[in-house]
Amino acid sequence: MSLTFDQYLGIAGLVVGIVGVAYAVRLDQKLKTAQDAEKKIEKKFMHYLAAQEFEDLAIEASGIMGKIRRREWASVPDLADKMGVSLGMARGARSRLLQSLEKDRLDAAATDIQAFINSLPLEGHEPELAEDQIQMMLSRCRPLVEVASEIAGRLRVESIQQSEGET
Amino acid sequence: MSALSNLLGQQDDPRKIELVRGLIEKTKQGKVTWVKQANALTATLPNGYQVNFVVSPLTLPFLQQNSSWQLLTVRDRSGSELLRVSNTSTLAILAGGEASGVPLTAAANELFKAASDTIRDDLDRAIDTIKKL
Repeated sequence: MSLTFDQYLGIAGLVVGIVGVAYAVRLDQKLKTAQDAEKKIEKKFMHYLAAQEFEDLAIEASGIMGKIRRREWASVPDLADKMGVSLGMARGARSRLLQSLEKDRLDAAATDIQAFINSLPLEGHEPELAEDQIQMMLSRCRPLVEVASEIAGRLRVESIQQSEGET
Repeated sequence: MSALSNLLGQQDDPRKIELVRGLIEKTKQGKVTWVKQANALTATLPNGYQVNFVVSPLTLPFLQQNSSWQLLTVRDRSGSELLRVSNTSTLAILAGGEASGVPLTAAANELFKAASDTIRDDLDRAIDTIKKL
């Protein structure tokens, strides 16, 4: 049995078609792998950025506590306002990465920080502050230092674990 | 925010109070296991429900009774918030004379006390065990 030219052409077309489909499948797999890798890097970067934000928050809060202890009042109100904004931004932006208890502790810390900001004396009235009022201010800042540094630590470890998982 | 709701003349959803009452009852029966964590008391219930108390860092002599916890939340498995009670003492005082006058806050106070008691019981058991060594 001999094949006609048209039949040869049909078989060649079929072979080319199969090769084309196989190539497309391979390309699709490569694209998926690249997309997975991109997602992993994105996730790792998100964790890293979030860890950095919470670490900065903890450092800001502990810096303010240090200024209160040393009674360096001049820059405290501005720093406290800035910290309140940073806390709200971090809480909102990183909500997806936070565990339920961390969210609650951050919310409670935010309430404390607001109370702390409201309790700050007006300029020139700082020397009138009693020791227990200063202790109260410190205790209102402390929860933020604790929870922000714990979250930063957890996110940093998770970011490192993601890198180890990839190798 | 229970105290704020009362301040604004809004009533708490009775189902929220029922939920907290249920938790109190089951805690007293020893069916809810509370875990002490940093500044928090937490319990995980069947079907993935999570109950969190954030413990207050403040100790004001005149608000001692109300400053023991700051925030109570109950979430479902997906993380959706079912209940949120803030123990904002100042607001509560403005709203009803004292925090315990707000039904949901009062129920949360009672739950916190029951949960704290179970933690104390665990400590007592540990002390007894060590004594018997």
